[in-house]
Amino acid sequence: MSPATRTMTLNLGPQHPATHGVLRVVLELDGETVLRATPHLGYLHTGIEKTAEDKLYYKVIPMTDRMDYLAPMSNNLGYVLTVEKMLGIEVPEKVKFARVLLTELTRLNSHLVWLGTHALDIGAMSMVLYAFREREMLLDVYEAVSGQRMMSTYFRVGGLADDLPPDLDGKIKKILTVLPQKMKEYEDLLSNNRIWIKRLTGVGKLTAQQALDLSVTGPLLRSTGVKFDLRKAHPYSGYEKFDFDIPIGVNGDCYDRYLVRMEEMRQSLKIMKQAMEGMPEGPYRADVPGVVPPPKPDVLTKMEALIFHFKIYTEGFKVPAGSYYQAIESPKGELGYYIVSDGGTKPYRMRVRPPSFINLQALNPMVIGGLVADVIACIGSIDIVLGEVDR
Amino acid sequence: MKQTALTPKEEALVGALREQFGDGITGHDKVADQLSIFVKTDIIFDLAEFMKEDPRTGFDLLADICGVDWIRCPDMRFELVYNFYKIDGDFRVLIRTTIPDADTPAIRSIQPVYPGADWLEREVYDMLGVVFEGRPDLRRIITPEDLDGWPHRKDFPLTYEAPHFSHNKDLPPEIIK
Amino acid sequence: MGLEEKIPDSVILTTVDYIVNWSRKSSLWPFGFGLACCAIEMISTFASHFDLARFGMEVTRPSPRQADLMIVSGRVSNKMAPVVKRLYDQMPNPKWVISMGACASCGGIFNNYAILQGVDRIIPVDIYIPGCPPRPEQLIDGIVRLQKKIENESIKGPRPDRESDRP
Repeated sequence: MSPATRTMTLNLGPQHPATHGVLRVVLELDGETVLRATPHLGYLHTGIEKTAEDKLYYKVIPMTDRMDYLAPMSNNLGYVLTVEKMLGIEVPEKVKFARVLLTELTRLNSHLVWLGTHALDIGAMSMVLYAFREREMLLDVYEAVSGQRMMSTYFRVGGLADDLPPDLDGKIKKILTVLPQKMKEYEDLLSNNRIWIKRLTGVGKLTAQQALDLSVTGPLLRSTGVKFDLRKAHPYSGYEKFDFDIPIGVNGDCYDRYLVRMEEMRQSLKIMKQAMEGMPEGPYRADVPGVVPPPKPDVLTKMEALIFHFKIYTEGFKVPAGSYYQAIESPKGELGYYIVSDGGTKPYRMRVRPPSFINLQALNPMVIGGLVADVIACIGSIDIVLGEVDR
Repeated sequence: MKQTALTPKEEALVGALREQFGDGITGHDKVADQLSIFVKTDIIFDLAEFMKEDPRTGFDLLADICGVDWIRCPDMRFELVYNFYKIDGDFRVLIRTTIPDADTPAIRSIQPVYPGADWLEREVYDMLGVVFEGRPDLRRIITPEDLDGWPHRKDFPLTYEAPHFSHNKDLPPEIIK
Repeated sequence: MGLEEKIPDSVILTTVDYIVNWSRKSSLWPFGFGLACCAIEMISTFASHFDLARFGMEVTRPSPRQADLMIVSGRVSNKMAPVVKRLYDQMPNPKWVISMGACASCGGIFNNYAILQGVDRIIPVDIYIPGCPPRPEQLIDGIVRLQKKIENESIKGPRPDRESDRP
């Protein structure tokens, strides 16, 4: 091979700060132009699907948090909805509203971290400081409802872990007033920033057909102009009662993805407002003896409740044999749980359809023909979480 | 789980598939709002083409491929569940097929039809050892390349520790617990 | 600047250990790489609300050759373990390791084929921080405790990061 046509292989990761964790990409370069990008995964493989087969149904919930650790409540929701569907449990209205409220909060959380880290990669260093400052407000809500800043494990099969705290109203109101102002600040800083536009416009383009062929979902698919959002297409947990729009892009490049996600954050705030105002009164758990733990006061006073409490937490509950696939719209795309039950107290098989993993397939077509610096922009704009890619 | 009746849209799909493949379709069932169609292993490639391109189907998204190890059932060791979704009309269907061969499980790849199946098939291969034929680049995707065994098979111990490191490279593989 | 006024042209007597330890502990440079969930809390600690710069540690280094503190933030998989080991070996002496979170310390809730049951199986650890994930305050506390530990070290004493001093 003559020197003029020799290509170069460049290894990126797995400890590179711009790969959002432990992604490793091997790039084949012709000068500065990328010929091929081959992602190497598995540096955070945790064996969650296999471990779930060894746990009682309610003990799997903490592990779902640790897959997409930027959107723990979305993961909880997908799992509990699947198990509830298999058991045929209908949860009270209050639970549905609380779940919608907190899942949308999770979407804000995920998109804020995405905005901060993506901007950091592009070179807008100060954005990460702003985004993490506002994120603390959201984590306050997490802490108020579940006692944990990140791994909430708040949604349980048949309801919630505990009642919503009385001071939640004020915390949500603070977010609803402060965050729109801050988002305007972010947009003032970024949207018309010449460097931001030059680094993102026309970079990492995908057509709608390419995206569909590669099974891409979420903001990545919507930025190409396909209006697909499971909250509208196949409503779950009472989303059909809420009024919101699905933002879509036109060009399918990194800049459109930025616009789509920013608008999604606004829509999330809108849904949260409706959920907060329309929050009904009522119990925070369904009344299903033998599956959903009875209220704590009953456990201390009634014999039957005590027995159920004891049996649920030692033996677990049985789920009828069969299999079910339930998908929800997580911040990254379609998050699906496919659970196979053999009629016992543990899942026979739990499969997670990880949106980040499948969206990452689009990296190679996105970066071909681009420059090395564009690879970083593309990885950032796909918005991957390695915990979910590798599971 | 409780069986439910098919909607007209689903009946049309099952009818079209039966008309096209005849004996290749071995049955269907519906629980809650989820339709599953059981097919024979050898028609999977033609079925994928049919699902994508025929005007009666038009499933544009291959959402997922899941492998299940039924170690206790001798006539169906591995089950593959293909999850097709049609955005226009919110239509999801699970296509199930079983591979009885426990030693050298193999099935035709649908990656040429749905390019998105690429990593999904590699993951099934990585976790269960099912070989997908007729596609390039079938490598392990998630576990280390030198891992011995297929983690999601039921006979793979959960707490197996691979002898990779200086602290255990001279020891025989052990099961920690 | 204050210090010059207080110390006019004069001689200060101290021990070599004291001055060396003081300078080492006051400018720890963490190696900026994250593994899993704890990495997000680590970024929170570096970012505006908790601001680790108050403790002289804002300079995260993307290269192991310029860092002297490795924060193992998250679960270490069997595939990642050789990489972590190599990164540790690439750091120049003296170097310290904080094992952040339950997964890095002992495997956490993941006792399975994929996860290394504690990063101390491959590299020596100075400080273990419990929690899943630990709060930023816990990480700060761990770092302050590491500073206390460094204060009590001696340049002549045994150090686990030296090959010859390992058990």
